[in-house]
Amino acid sequence: MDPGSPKNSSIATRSGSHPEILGNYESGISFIPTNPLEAQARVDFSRASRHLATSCDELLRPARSRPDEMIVQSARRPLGCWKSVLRRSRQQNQLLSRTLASISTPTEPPASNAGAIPPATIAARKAPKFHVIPTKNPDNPIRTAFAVYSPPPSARKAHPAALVEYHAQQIRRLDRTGARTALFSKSNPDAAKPGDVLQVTTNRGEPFAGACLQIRRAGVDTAILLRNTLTKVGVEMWYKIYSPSVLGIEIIWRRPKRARRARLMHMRRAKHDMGNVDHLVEAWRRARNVFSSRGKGGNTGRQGKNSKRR
Amino acid sequence: MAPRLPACWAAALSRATTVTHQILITEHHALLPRTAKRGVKYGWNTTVPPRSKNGRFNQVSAGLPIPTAGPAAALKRKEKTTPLRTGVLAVKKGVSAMYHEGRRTPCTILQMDQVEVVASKTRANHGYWAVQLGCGEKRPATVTAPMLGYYEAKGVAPKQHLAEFKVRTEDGLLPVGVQLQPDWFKLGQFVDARSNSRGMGFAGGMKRHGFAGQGASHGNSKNHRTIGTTGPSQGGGSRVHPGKKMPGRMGNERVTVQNLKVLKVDNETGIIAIKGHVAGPKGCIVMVADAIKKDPPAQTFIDKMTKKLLERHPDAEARLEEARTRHMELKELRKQGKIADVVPQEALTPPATAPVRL
Repeated sequence: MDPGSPKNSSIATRSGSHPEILGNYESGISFIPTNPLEAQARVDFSRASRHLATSCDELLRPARSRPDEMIVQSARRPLGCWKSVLRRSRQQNQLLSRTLASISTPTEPPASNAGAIPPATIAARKAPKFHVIPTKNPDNPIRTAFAVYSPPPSARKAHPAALVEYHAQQIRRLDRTGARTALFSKSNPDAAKPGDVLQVTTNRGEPFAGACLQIRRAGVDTAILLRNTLTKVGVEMWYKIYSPSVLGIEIIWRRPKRARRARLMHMRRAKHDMGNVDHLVEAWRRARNVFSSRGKGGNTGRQGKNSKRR
Repeated sequence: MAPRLPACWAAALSRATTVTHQILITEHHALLPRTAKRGVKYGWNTTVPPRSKNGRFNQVSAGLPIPTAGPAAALKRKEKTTPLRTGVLAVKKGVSAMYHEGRRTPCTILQMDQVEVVASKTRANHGYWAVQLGCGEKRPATVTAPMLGYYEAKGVAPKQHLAEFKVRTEDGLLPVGVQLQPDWFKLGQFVDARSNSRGMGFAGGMKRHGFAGQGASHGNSKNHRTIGTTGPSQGGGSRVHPGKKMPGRMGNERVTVQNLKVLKVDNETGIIAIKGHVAGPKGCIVMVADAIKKDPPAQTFIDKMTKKLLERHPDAEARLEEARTRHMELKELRKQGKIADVVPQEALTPPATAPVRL
């Protein structure tokens, strides 16, 4: 479900009547009534209320265990600009829309049997067509002709983008919640972008935080390049975002202005180097501790781990 | 067996002989017809077919050792490196990775499309055992008439690519017309992938053969990437030896990558994922076959897959026979110029729009 769709935003407005849902946020984030999304949402309210009436219980339950990858701004920080306002509004929408998405998520469609070969019989075989090689002589229009048999069903025609399907299949297996995909999706306005500071938690060693220099998009093989300065030495690390050894990826700090190139190789030069990002990580950690007494570790974005964090 | 020539042939010729128009008569032997069969009509050359089988007495039965050269010896020599069963044709779709038990494995994604057995080659008729496969489909308008006749006789649709896979014995042959699917390979088995590498065009010696090039300075002028001298000096003959590595066309040649593990097979999408990389650009044709340097898959698996194949196409033999009969009839009609009689009227009018080619 598209997080920015009008239906979702209407639910966010409606959720004002459920203090327990947004309880944590009311203290930190002031919801501005003049939000344009809200204005739009009022129009669509009647449509969304159907969903709410049927699924109020479900709405409440997953809200406590929602992934908080997107909540990255400090809650105490005053609203700086429209951009952050809209982002927060989107986050609240997403928080609720996800619950709806989980309700309406269809089960896996049964594997179709298109590619399998049906047991053929001679009777079922189609008679061959004729391919005629013509002449220009109107009296004898046919030079010769051959019987041409019909080909078997084509896997290439049925699945022209086999590589894309392979990627989708593997991503479904490795990223069951879709959180990792959303975090780097081009269509997601809250996605991580080059220039942001990200922290990657792996199953070995300490988490690595650094400025994202580039995102190498290659389906299930998508990777990010992070750069930090440790003990005055520049360190760059590649991480495969769908790797099972990557337990979590968090956005520590968002670049205030979108970078105007996809690969920020100039950040390796001393003039543009961000240097050590530990102070950003520390600020992010302190901001997170507002909500949680246990501020260590990161959100995994994987199934079954979220409950531990909250 | 051909009669041996008389030993006194030369002697007889030198003596008095009578040559009539048709028959050579000597003292002892006569009545050898003067036909063009015996003489060399168009001069001596090396391509003239041998007029006697000189090796006909060189038999094992005559006490000679088993010959180490010749077709039978060649087959015997290559027996161990010839796979038990045929490989398949696939199209390279691209490169990705697969995660299994926490480990990342780079892999190549191949897709099989309409891979069918087109013909079998036999020891008796062709000198070796092989399976001819075709893949893809081709519009009949782009196929030559001889090949249309070929496909007509086999009862299969015209194929975009044809390739041949040698097999060790007759047991490796498959009925014509059966379709191979990715499950022909067992998960985890090893395969060899043969394909044409990416063409680099005309490349210099540094790129093509890894020559060192020449210095950037010290008086070097306009010769930084040239290959330098090509022939050794006096001791080496002062000439360019055959096979000297020089600039030229690079790439687009057959490359075999051996011992790649099969990671995934999917009949639904036609996908085969194999570990590692395969030569060639995306979209190139890859011949995938059981690895020759590893053990073939278990015989039980081979038998199972062959059986499954025959179950999927229970009437392959009958279809082939039907197609052959039909082909002979049509061929006769074509010879007589009466093919128009059997062509239905709708086949005469060309289709309004050409079919979309994939």
